[in-house]
Amino acid sequence: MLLSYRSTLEKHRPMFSKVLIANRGEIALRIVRALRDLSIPSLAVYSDVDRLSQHVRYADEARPIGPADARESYLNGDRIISVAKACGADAIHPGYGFLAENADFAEACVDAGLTFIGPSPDSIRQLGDKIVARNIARAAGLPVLPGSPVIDNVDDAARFADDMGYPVMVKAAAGGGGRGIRRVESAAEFRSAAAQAMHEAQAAFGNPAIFIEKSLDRVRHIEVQIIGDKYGNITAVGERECSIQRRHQKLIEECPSIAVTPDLRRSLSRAATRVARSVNYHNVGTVEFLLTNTGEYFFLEMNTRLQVEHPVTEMSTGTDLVKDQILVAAGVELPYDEVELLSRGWAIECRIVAEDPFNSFLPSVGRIVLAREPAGPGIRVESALYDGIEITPYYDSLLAKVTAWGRNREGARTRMKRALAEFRVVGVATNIPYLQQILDLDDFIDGRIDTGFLDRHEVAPLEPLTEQKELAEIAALLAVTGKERASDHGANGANGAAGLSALGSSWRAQMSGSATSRGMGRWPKSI
Amino acid sequence: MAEKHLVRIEGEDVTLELDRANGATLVRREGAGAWKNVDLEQVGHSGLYVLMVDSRPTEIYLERRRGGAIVTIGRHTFDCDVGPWRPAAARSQKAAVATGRAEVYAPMTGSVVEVRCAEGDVVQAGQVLLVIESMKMNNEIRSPASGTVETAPVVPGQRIKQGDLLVAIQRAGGG
Repeated sequence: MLLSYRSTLEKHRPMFSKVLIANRGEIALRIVRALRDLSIPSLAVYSDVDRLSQHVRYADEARPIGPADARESYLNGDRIISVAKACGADAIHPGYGFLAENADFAEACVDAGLTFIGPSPDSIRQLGDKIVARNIARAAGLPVLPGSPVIDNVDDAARFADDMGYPVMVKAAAGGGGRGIRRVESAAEFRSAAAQAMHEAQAAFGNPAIFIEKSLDRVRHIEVQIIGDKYGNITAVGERECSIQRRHQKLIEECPSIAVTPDLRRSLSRAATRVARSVNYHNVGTVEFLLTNTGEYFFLEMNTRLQVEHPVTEMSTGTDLVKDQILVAAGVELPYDEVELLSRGWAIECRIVAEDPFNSFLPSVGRIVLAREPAGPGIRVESALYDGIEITPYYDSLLAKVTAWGRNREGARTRMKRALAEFRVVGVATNIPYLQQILDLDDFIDGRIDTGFLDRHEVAPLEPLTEQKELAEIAALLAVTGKERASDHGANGANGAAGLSALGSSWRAQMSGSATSRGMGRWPKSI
Repeated sequence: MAEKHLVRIEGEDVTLELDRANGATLVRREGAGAWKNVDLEQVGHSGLYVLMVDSRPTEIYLERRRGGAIVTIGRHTFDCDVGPWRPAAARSQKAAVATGRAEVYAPMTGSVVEVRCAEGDVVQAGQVLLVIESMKMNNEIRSPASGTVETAPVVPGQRIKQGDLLVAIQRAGGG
């Protein structure tokens, strides 16, 4: 297997002459890096506000595609395809979000003679319709939760929900990414919840249709990563547990899952590949399941793209899913099968978002004047942060993903704690303090988690700030009275200016920062 | 001879004594125990500083401003005034402002999704007044007080900037 992979690689190199990355932020940078590893030139695209982004600076070539509003830039498929054609790209990587699960866009790529790095437009279309996806899964022999057909009015929805019995989930038929999903506990709250879900679905997906699904208590979110090539080889690449969610947004993910036994893993893997095979799936995809505490599982949906949380799988299986998805899209045979993949150790990922846990998780926008990412044994950071980056309200609030690897779950957890304590973000509020609290909860430490975990563990109030306050007093006093030590660099104060001078100074700051960082172990809580 | 300085932090006045001995800088809160050996040094040209207090290092982010400094430690930002020490009686006390009007400002930039109140409505503290979308998330904005809506100058679909007035409420029983 490995040999044929190598020889194909030689024969086809370069497999793509240039790949356009139709995304931004950390995932665009991740793709730039995979392309660099494959010696394929990368073409970044950017909206007006992303001119200085890392994905732009690290790419081989970069083109503007429009204003900040994503509908006129990152969601403007025609524009992106015409840029790809004009610049001589022969493939488009959509990342996740934006156009990644847009079947029409995938089809337009194919029609324009471009390779869409992802599954076929047909696979995206079928699996993107949650009702069709449920039917496909059922036909493939997978257990599926009781559910309604597509509904477009509140009266029908209420009838189905009453028949099914509460609690129920109301979901956008065209949904994804946790949007347009609501859990409803009783008939009394159903109508307003359904109306709101339809409103949200219309706003987010341009389609108000919803469906109702039975809701289970104390279930885990388990998903199986799969990858397939264009020759019918499909492999499961282990499971991930994403039970730590807030408002249906995943916050902490791990690979493997503490709840999955070897037998269950085989069963889930077989189920996931059966679904994929039944639609002739190729490229990466994720089959999501709910797992009850009795070991029963139900198909939830299939995501036809790279997942945000793919690094945990990569860390524990040693794969490079982004590189591999580019290879299989280029027609290379799958470089491994499940038997060859050994899961080693444990990986945990935390999503760092610009939301203030001590202020109702309101999004926090503004300029990050200082960003220092953690490092050290077992730590991997996917981010596109830099000093001076402006966090705007135009895009999602994900700032960075920190993944920690350890020989076992506890080893990964303690390294994650260390990494979060090292992470410095000054200028916007982040959820880091909340993540630190979660990692210290007994139930989390013991792996007693489910999708309702964060509803039961709200943010704990802040510890008293006596120590920090005293330090702040001293620092302010020394700075204002001119008693601080004269810097070797002759520096004094002025900083934070945007543009070239700021870039230059942040580079110098990083250099000197690393030289003096040896003694800075003590940090009560991260910035 | 130690100098005295007044630091105002989060509305609290603290008197700090500052002294130098054998090339070291010493600080203590007035009348509060031992002197601390302190050292503040900027890292490169950024706002990053290392504050050493009795050989314990802490990274801080510091921005100077007229008459003080804004200091970020951990996730907390403290705005500090620093001035010469004066007897307590001479200090101007910040007048407590009591007003019958509660104003709700946009906590972030975004757009208005829904307005659930109108002029003249009676609202309860904690009641959702409007929904704002930012970063693809809907955020419920709740009333800080019970009372009557005096004005609600925004409409659904309107783009708003952080700090824009969204709703003003005349507190129940207030003047």
